[in-house]
This record gives sequence, structure tokens and C-alpha cells, in this order.
Amino acid sequence: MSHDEMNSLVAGYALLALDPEDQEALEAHLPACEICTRSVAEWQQVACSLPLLVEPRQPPRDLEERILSAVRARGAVKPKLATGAPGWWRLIARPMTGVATVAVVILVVMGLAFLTLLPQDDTPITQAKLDRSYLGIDIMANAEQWWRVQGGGEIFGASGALAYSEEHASACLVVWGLPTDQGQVYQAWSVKQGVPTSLGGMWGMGSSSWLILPGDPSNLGSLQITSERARGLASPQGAVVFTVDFGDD
Amino acid sequence: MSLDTKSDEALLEGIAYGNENALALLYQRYGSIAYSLAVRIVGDLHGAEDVVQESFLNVWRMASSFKIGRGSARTWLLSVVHHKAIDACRRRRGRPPDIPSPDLIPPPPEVQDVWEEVANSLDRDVLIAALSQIPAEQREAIEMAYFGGYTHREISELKHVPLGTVKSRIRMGMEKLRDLLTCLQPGGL
Repeated sequence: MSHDEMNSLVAGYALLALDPEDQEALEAHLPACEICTRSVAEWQQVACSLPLLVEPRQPPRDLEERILSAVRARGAVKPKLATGAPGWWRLIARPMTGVATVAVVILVVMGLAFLTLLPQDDTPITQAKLDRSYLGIDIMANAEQWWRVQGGGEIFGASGALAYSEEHASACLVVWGLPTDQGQVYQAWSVKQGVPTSLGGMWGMGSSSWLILPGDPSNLGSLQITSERARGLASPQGAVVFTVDFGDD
Repeated sequence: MSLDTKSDEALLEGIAYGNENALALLYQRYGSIAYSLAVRIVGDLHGAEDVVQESFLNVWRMASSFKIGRGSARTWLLSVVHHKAIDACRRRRGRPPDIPSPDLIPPPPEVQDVWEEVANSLDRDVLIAALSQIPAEQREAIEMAYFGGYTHREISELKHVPLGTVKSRIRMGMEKLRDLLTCLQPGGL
């Protein structure tokens, strides 16, 4: 779908009127498109005028107290952004410390700055690649949740990090050490009820591979990363090198 | 400065620090419109109360992700209520919601244009006047989507019109609504 087609969906998105396939396509498009992201915000403002059309009603008198009681009952002290690793990532990941988090961001930023001068990957560093990587950095810079990722099997030794930013409503996965010596490329799949749907290919920046996942990763079902010999496949053909069960917690 | 003179955004900041009084005051400002919206969408009082309660709990948990200067607190709060009400509405129709989880609705991205100011100072009469100038089929499509929780395809099937027509009606109707509201505001264009 073209940018114009995506942008034509944004008003419906703000009304929550998109059918699933259109919603998925638009949400995949948004992280890389500032124009559409701003359009979403603008249409949400328009949509939020619509409640004024409703005949005003007074809520029950005790509703306020019920809300405050529920707040107190939930541990109540203070709202906190979640910091622990959710169940869906626990098999291969664990929360990172603050120091490790800062270290990862610094490493990534320095690595990117260096790579703009000296490409090491087998594919050229294009502006689009850099833009996506900078978006990834911005996600990491604003992320509330971090986890370390450790590879196994044929990619033993590969490691990386997943950062999820509520502000961006997106996650960024960065993995170092995925082998590319035989021309491998890495493609991500969301697997629901056994049916894989492509989430796109990871892109390489030097020795690191990147992927931005729009939305809350826990909605993906299961995330698989496969090692492929070609990009843009409609269904996975190569070996699965990562499986992340976003499962049933 | 007492809490009740603070802006919505300052209240959210207080909520982020665990100030229950700030949450109570935000409820006092927006509980009525939130409840009215929920009743209209969900269709029954008990269900609407659940929606409002869950929405304010969501605000309590997520307030720390709201950043002053980015969008308005009112827009965010009403988006949360809308999501939760549509979610409840669709579940009652027997199909899972296709919308993102309302538990993790992020605050809106930054918008620096005239519309934010307009949206925050609207009144009901202006909105009704604006909608009355929008073609009936466009207004109907917008209301079916926003208040009825129907998707493009569902509206297409219910109204027996092509899918593309529904998409166009919603897009054009929203564009007209935005333009009209901007013009109809006191001191508008």
C-alpha cells in the first residue's frame, strides 16, 4: 500500500473503524512515517470532539469512590511503569540493569556514528536504513522496558536487547553476532494459530541486526526469526533461529 | 497553588507521582463526559460504569508516560474511554476487539497546530452546528464508527454500499468536520 493509501486510512484509524488488515498495515507503516503519525494525532483530536454530541449524564455518586478504592486495592501506592520482564519473554530474556541499559544505548549510538563513516555490512547503508536505526535509538532512549536476549542453537553467541517504548508504542530489537558470512538474511514472523505473517526483514548495521516491531509485542502471538537466503519471502523457508513465545500470561 | 487550579496536564503529573487527589479531581472534571460517552457506546449503565472505572485505572497506571507539551490530557483520557467502550461493545457482539489493547494506549504524539486549541475549547452547540452541515451519509458513517464500534467493512455491509465509499465518506466527513469546527469557533478562520 502506498503512503497516500495509508494516509487515507488515518481518519478511520482515529475512529477505531479500521478492519484488521488495514489496521495491521497502517500500524506497520506508522513507526517509519512522521507525516502519518502526526495525522493520527490530529484526527484523534477531531475524534475527541465527538463525545460532546452525547447527551450529558451524571455518573452514580459512588463511582468516584469506587475508582479510588480500586486504586488503593491495586497496591495503591503509586503508579509505576512496569519494569519486570513479562512472561512472554522470560524464556530467552531477562531484565537489564540501568547500567546495562545505558551501556547498550551508548554502544548503539557510537556504533551507528562509526558505521556512517565505515560500512561493514554487506549491504550499503542507505538513508532509509539510518532513519530506521535512528528511530530505533529513539525507542531505546525512551524505553521503559529492557530485556537482554541470548541466542542459542546455531546462533549461540549472538546476543542483543529488546526495548519497548510506550511513547512510540513500538519495540526495537537489536541483535549482535547473527552470522551473515554465507549471505544469510533474517526475517521476522508473527505466528498465530500456526499461520506465519511476515513482519519484515531485520536490517544490518555492521555487526548488528535490527528490527522495529510496531505496537505491543504481546499481541503478536509468537515471534520467529528465520535465517533465509532471500529477502521478502511470503512464508518462512529457512531455519528458525529465534522463537519468542508471547504466550498466555 | 491548590490542586483545583491546576491544568489537566499538571494533574496527570500529580497522578504519575501517586497523588490520589489529583486523580479524584481529574474524575470530577471529566467523569461526566466519560460516563456519558460510555453509556452511549455500551448501551447500559452498569457496563458504562465498568468502562469508566477501568479507564481511570488505566490513567492511574499510565500517567507517568504522559509528557506535558505533547497533545492534551483531555484527548488522551477520552481516547482511553473510547477504546474501552468500543472494546466492551464489540465483545458483546460476540467478536474479539480488533483494536489495540486499551491497557496500553500511549499519550498522543506531539501536535502543534491550531486544531489542538480548537478541540479543547469546543462546546456542544458548535459541534452540533458543524455536524448539521456535513452530508447525512458522511455523518452517519462517522457516528456508526465512533459510537457504534463498526468497522469500514461492517458499515459497508450494513448500509449496502461499497467499501471504498464508506472509507471516503468517513475521511471526507472528518475533513469537513475539522474545517467547520475551526471556522465556527469564536475568532475562527
